[in-house]
Amino acid sequence: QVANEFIPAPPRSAETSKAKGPRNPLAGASVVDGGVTARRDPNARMLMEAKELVYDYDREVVTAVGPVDIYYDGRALQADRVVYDQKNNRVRAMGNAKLTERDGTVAYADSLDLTDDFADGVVRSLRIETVDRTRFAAAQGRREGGKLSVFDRGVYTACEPCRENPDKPPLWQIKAKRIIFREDEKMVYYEDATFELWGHPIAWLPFFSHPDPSVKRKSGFLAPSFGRSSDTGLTVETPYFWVIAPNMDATISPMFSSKQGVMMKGEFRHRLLDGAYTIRAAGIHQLDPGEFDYKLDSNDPNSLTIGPGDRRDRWAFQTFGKFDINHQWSWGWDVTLYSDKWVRGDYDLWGASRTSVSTVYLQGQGDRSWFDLRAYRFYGMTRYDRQDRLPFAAPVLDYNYVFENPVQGGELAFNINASSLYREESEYRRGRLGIGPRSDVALIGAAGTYSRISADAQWRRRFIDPVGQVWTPFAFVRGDLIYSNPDDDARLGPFLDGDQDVALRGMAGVGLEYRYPFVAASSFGTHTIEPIAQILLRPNETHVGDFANEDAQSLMFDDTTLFAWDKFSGYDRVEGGSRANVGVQYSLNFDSGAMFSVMAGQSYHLFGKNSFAEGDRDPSRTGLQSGLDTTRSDYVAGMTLVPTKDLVLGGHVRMDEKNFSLRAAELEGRATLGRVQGNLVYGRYDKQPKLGYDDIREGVLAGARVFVTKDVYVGGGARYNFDLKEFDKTQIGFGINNIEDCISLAFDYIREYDVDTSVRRLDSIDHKFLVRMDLRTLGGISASTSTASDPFDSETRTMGLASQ
Amino acid sequence: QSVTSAFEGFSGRSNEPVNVEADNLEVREKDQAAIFSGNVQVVQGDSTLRSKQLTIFYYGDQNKPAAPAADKSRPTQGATSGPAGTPAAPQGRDIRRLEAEGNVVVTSKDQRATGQRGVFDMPSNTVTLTGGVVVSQGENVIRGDRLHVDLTTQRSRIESAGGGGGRVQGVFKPGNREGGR
Amino acid sequence: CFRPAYGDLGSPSHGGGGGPVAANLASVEIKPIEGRIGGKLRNELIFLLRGGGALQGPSYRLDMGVVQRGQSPIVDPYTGQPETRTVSLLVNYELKPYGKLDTILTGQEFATVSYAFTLQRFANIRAQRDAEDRAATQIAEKIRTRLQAHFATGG
Repeated sequence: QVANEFIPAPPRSAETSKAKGPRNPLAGASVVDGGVTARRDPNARMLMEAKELVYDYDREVVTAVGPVDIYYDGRALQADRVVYDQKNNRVRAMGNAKLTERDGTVAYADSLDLTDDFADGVVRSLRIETVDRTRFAAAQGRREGGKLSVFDRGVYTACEPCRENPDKPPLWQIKAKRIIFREDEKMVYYEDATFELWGHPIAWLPFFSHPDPSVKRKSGFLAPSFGRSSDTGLTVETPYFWVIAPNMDATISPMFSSKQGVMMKGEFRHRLLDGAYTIRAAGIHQLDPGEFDYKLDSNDPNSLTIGPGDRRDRWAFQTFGKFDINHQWSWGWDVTLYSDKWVRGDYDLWGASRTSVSTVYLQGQGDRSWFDLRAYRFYGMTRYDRQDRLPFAAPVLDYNYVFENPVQGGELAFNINASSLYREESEYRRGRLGIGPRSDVALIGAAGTYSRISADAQWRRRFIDPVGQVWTPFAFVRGDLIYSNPDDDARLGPFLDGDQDVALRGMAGVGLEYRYPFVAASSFGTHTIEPIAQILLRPNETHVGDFANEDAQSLMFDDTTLFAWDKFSGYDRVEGGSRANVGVQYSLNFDSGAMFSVMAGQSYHLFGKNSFAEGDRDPSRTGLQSGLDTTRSDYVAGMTLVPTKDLVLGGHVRMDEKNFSLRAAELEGRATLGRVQGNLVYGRYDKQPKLGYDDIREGVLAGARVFVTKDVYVGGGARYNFDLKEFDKTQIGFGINNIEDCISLAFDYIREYDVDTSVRRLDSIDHKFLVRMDLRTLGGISASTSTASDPFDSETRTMGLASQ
Repeated sequence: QSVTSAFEGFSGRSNEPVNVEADNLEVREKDQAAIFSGNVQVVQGDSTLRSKQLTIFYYGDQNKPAAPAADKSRPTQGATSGPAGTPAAPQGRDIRRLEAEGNVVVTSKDQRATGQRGVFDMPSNTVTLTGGVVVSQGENVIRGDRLHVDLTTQRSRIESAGGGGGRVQGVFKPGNREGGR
Repeated sequence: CFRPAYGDLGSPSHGGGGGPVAANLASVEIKPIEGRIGGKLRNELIFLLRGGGALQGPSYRLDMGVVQRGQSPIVDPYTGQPETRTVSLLVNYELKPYGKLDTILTGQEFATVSYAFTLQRFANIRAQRDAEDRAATQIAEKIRTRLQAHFATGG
C-alpha cells in the first residue's frame, strides 16, 4: 500500500478572526499583525517550502535552507534561511527576509526573530511598504504583546522611492528616534522626530502623532492652517476633529491671532435616519478693536455702514439641516446670525460671501406639481448694505399644479403665490458709479409692510390642421389681493403714497399661438423652419404705482421672453393691454445630436395701455427703456450652438426698433476640449438712465484650466469691466497633484478690488495669495490671506441622468 | 519526553535483535546476504520497517570490523519467521547493511517515514531514504526527494532532488503551547 | 426641400390632428426629474409633445439629465455684487423604445438666460426663479423641435 497520505497544504485557514483585523500599516514594520484584535486562527498550520529541511528531532528545531517560503495564517515569509524552534515557538529568518501581511503590507528585513504566532519579536534593519503605498524603515523593530510595535531610528514617508537611485531621499519623510505604533489605539507616535523636505530637515517635532492611515474617521488634530491679514495679524488655526458617535462628530478649531487673541470656532454635525443637520459658531473677544476703526460704523444714513465700530465681542452663528418627511416632502433650514456684518469677512469664516440668506422651508414635489413654503431673512455684507433696508420675507408660498388628465382636451394648470415683506427703511436704486443714492431714480424696497396673495389658472390646447398648421388657443385668469402699509419718509413721495391700502387686482385674457413648422431632411441632419405668431387680448393693468414692486424688478426683454404670456418676472406686476408677438425660428438638428438654432422676432402693442410704458408710475420703474415700452418693440434674436456636449454656446441680442442700434448683447459659452476646460460669459447693456444706469454696462469674464499632464494643471480667469477699462478681477493659479505620489501643491493669486474697506476710491486693489500643500496620509497645510471659495462665484447643480 | 527518531530502533548502537517477517527468503552465502521479499516486516525495539523487499548484508568472518570490545551493542539477526519451509536466516550474525525496496515505511511511536528505497548503513549509523520521501511526526509532516538521517547526531535532513527546482515541503503545527499567548 | 412637419394630409390621428408625427410625439413618456427646474421642464415638454391630450401608448421613453450653472459677466466693483447674472441649463437626453434599453437617439440642448441683480436679495431670488423657468421652457421647445424633426423625417 502507498505511503501514508500526505497532509495537503494547510486548508485556507478559515477566517475565524472577525472582519480582517485593523490594517496596521506598521504591522508590516512590526513584521507581524498577530495583534490581540486580529485573533489568530487556532488550527492554522505553517507550510514551509525550501531547498532543504533539516529536522532535529531532539531539539525539535527545523532549519530550512535555500530560498525558504513559509505560509502561515494568511501571511507569507520568504528568507534565505529560516530556523523554526518548535519547542520554544521561535521563528528566526536570516538573509533578505520578506514578510507579506494578510492585507498586502510587505516588510523587508535582514533578520527576523519572532514567536511562531508572530505576536512578539525583534526585526533588524527592516523596510515596509503598506497597501496605502506608505513606507517605513527602521534599524530595528520590536514587537511586544501583539499590540505594540516599537521601531528604533525609524523613518516614515508616503513617497515613491526614486527608481533610478533608490537611496535618493524621498520628497518628504519623518525621521524619528523612535516610532511607536499602538494597534489598540490605532495611533502612530513619533518621539524626537524631524520632518525632512527634499532631504533637508525643516521641522523638529519632539512629539508627533497621526492616526493609522487605514482609519477613515478618527478623533485627532487636523492639519493647521496659517493666515495673515492687516487687521488680525498672523493667525494659526489648529482644528481638532472629534468623533462623538458613528453618526455624530464635531470639529473644534481655536484660531490664535497675533493681534486679536483667540477666536473659538466649532462645528457640530449630526446625521439621522431621515436627514442631517450642522451647527457652527465662532466667537472672539477682540484685544484690539481699534484695528477695525477704519471701518467706522457711522450712523449718517447716507454714509456707508462700514465697520463693526468699537465692538469687542464679535461672533457668528450658523445652522443648516435638511430632513425628508417622505419621498415627496422635505423640510429644512439654513439660519445665520452675526454680531456685525463684517465679522465673516474679517475672520474668513466659512468662505467669503457678500450675502447670507437665512431661510426655513417646507418643500414638496409631485409628479406634475411643486410646493414651496418658506421664510427669508437677509444679511447684506457689501459696504453699501444697511441691514434695516433688507426685508424679512415671511411667508413666501409657491404652489404650481398641472392637471394630469386633459380638461376639455387641453392642459389646465393653476399657480398660487403669496409673499409678505417687512423692512424698516426704504432702499432706492443707486446711481451706478455715483455714491449717494440719487433719489430721483427708483425705489427698489419700500419701508413698512407689503403683502400679496395671487392665484391664476391657465388652459391651453393644441390643434394641428390637415395642412400641418399648429393652432394653440389659450386662456388665463388671475386675481391678486394686495395689502400695503408703507412707512412714510421724506423721499418716498415721488414713488409711493405713504398711506395704508388694500386692493383686489384682476386680469384675464385669451390668446392664440400659430406655428407652421416645415422640415427638410438632408444627408447630415434635418432643417426646421417655423414661423410663429401669437396674439393676446387682455384688459389694461390696474393699480400700477399704488403698490411697491418687490419681486418683478428684473425685466430682460429678449427671445426668451418674446412669447411669454406675461413678460414680467414676478407677480407684483401683471402685463395688461393687447399685444401681438411674431417671430421665426430656424433649427438644424444633426443625427449626432448636435444642434444649431436661431430665432428672431418683435412684439407689438395693439390696443389698451402698454404696461411697460406705464413704468414711470411703477415705483421701481420696471419696463422703462426695456425695449418693450414702445408700440413696436425692439428687435430681439437668439442663437444656440451645441456641436457636442463638451462645447456649448448661446447668445441673445436686442436692437433698437428705429435705428437697429445695439441695445443689449449677451453671450455664454463653455468648452471641454481634450485637456482644456474653458468658460466665457459676456454682457453688454445699453444705458437706462431712468433706472439709474447712466452708462453702458459691459463686461466679459473668461476662465480656462489646462491639464498639462494628468496631475499638473494651470488655470486662470479674468473679468474685464469696460466702464473702468480695467480687469476688476484676475485669478491665476496652478496645481501639481501627487508628485511622487505623496505631495500635492496648489497656488492661486487673486487680484481684485478691495470691497471691504471704506475707502470710496477704487484704487485699493487687494492681492490675495493662496498656497496649499497636501502631504498624502498626513493632511494638508494651507496658508492664505483669504479663502475665496470660488473667486468668480459661479455655481453648478446637477439633477437627473448623469449628464456629463 | 525526548523525541525518538523513527529510525532509533535501527541504530547500529541498539542491541535489540532484528526480527524479520516476510513471505519468502533467499539466502546468498557468497554475498553474505539474505533477501526477504513479499510484505516484509522488520521489528527492532519499538521501531518497525515494512517494505516489498529487504536485503540484509551480514559481516563475513573475514570482513567483520574490529568492534571495540566494550561495544557489544550491534544488531544481530534475531529470529526470522516466514512461511513454513523457508530457510532460516543465519541466527545471531552481525548485520552490516539493510536495503529495503518498494513502499518502504518506517514507523515508531508517533513518527513515520515513507519512501521507495531505504538504506540502513550500520557502520556509519545513518539511514538514507529516497523516492518521494514523506516524514511525519505528530502533526508535522515533511515531504522531499531524499531523507538522510544521522542516528548519532539525531538529525535528519530532507533534501529536494537538487538540480531542478525541486522543493522540500514541511507542514508544522505551531503554538501547541497551553493557553495561547 | 421643405414640407410641413405635420403635413400628412388627411390621415386620421388622435383628436388634435397632426398625423403619425403628432401621434408619435404623444406616445413619448418622460421620466420624472428631481427638483423644481426638472419638474418645470418636464411639464412644459409634456404639453409641447401632447398638446394637452393624454399620453398615447406609450411607445417611447425620454430620459433627461440637467446641469444648471450661473455666472456674472458684470460686477459693480464698489460692492462686489453682480449687476446681471445668467442661468444656463445643459440638458442631455436619450430617447428609447418603451420597455427596451437600446437608444434611438441622444442629444444635448443648451439655454442661457440672464436676469438683473441689485442689493435687494428677495428681488434677486425671484428674478432667478423666473429666469430658471424661461430657460426650462427654451430647452423644452428645442427638444420638441428635435423630436418633431426626427419623427417627421421617418425616424
